[in-house]
Amino acid sequence: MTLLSNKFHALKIVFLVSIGLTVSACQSVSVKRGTAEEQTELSGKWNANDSKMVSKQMIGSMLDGRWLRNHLKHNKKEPTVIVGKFRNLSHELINIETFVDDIERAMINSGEIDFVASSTERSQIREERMDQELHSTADTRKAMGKEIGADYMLSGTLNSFTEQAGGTKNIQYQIDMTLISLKDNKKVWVGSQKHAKTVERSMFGF
Amino acid sequence: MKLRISFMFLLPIIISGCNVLGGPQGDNIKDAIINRTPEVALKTIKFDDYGEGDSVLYYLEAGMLHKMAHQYKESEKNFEAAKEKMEALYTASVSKGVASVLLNDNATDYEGEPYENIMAHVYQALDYLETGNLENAAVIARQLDTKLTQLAEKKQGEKGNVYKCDPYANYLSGMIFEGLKDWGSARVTYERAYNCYDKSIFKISVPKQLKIALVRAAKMSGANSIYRQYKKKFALQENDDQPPHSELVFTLDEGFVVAKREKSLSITASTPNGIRQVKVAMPDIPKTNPHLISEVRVKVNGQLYMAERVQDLDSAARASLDERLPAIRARAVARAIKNQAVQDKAGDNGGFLAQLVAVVATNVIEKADIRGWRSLPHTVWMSRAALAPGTYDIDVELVGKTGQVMNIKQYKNISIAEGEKKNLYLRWGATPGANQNKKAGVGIIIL
Repeated sequence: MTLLSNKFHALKIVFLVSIGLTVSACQSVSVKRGTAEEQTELSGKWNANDSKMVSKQMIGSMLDGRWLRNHLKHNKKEPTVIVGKFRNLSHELINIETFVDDIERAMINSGEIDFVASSTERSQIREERMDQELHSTADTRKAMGKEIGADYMLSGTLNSFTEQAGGTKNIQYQIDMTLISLKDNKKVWVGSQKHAKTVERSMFGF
Repeated sequence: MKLRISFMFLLPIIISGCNVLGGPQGDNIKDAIINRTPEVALKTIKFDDYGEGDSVLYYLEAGMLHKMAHQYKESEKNFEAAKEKMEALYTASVSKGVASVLLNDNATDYEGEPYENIMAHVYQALDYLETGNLENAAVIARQLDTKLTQLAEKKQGEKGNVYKCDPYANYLSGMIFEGLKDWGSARVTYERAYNCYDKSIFKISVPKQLKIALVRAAKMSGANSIYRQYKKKFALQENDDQPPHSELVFTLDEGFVVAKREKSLSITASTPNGIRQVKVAMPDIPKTNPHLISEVRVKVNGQLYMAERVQDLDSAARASLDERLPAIRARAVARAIKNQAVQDKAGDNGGFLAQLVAVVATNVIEKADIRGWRSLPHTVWMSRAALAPGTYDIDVELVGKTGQVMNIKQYKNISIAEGEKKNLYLRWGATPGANQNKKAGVGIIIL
């Protein structure tokens, strides 16, 4: 009886070890759902929240500039602005188009400036007008040559600097914007904003 | 009865669905690359076959196959997913260490070798270059700069066969910065590439095209003393340092990095029951010569531009494994001692049959970790041709060891605009049906 019990005990150990090891060899998949904002914040990367926040703050700063008061004083009407090239010079694959959209939205919603379509959008609209010349009735057709020329072009860059030690990574984004008068290439406003994020992890690197 | 019980004990181990060997589709992928049918392999490789634990491998293989199928968006997404997963896995997790000591290294999530991490960045950058997205390629070049700096800092002071820099990654980054006319960054990264080729584990001499690029970047960035120093050192021709108006960059990925295999070793170890011989399973890279190509000739409208070897992943793979071997061996010995104790205990309490079951069980689960990125080439070749804007016919000849042209790849009517850097990429596994053709005396195969 004792011998049988010992044998059973030994076999039980082997069985449990086998099962234990086999189960532990498999990686269980755990999925946790949350809002998109929570998930992007977890990654520590530039996200939609950063884009909205920075664009709102920078356009606010731009509209506080002296250039706007000067323009209104001399021209008696709101300036017309076009968004030019924005370049991503950071370490992250940032959808710069989304950032530009946020900038455009902030400018339009301010109500303090007029805003004209970008060169790509203008090309599409011109094509549509050409099409109207051929296919639309005279009373609904939109004539060529009535576009509003922009007074200023806004362009910018998005840079990032990272610093890490152990499991802490500090990312500093620097957004620089320049507003140039299309009449005389004069830089009428230059703005810069820093936006910092800290990511904590067990370790970074290799 | 005893046999039935023993079988039941073994069953859960044998039917374990985990990818203990990793890369379940390795042969399919290799065949698809050799036969130039990446779409076929893409239909067969499934994330579930790899599982969450080997998802890095899935993303790397899928990225490479999509690239070969010219599906650049999908390729880029997979490389990004692989990078993110590798970054997430690189943690000082205590549980990971415990799991691999108790079972084997396959129990841990595959986080990728450092050179695989670097190459995931490289291929993602190439995806962007091939689709003309220089700005995103530059983002990856900046990421590479960070990664390579981390690598150099971690391996600082280590001597011998150590992967501590990557000349090709630096060279490609330099080309990207040059494309953006960021001459200062280009000069710095070209110089890092030069130092890495010159003083590291890679069995490649410094490519002449890099020497020219370095001198040119030094001149354009205004680093006059560096410019004079390298111009004299490299003895280049007078016009070599002029920036080209337009350029054709041809890249060829040759063959496959030699896959790891399992090697059993018998090691003398001190166990609780005294000095014993224990069996350990170790990963090993067999010593083979993977080179099939001796020359790559790029003919642009008939004018010859010789490609040069710019990457040697075989050396990188061997160095990475060599670096990890002491730790792998230590863990394997610890597991072997633990297994020995389990076997002895089973034998003491349950007799011969129980011990036999324990021996089989512990040996079945003791596997070396031979996981790796199977579609990675062992060598990368590159040719850079400064061209005037225009339309060109390009023939690429792959010359075998015997001096015979094995394959020709033809590109017709390739247009290159003013200031454009046109990137062409070719993945070559081996000549499809090479053996049969050799026997039948069939000549050159047009790819």
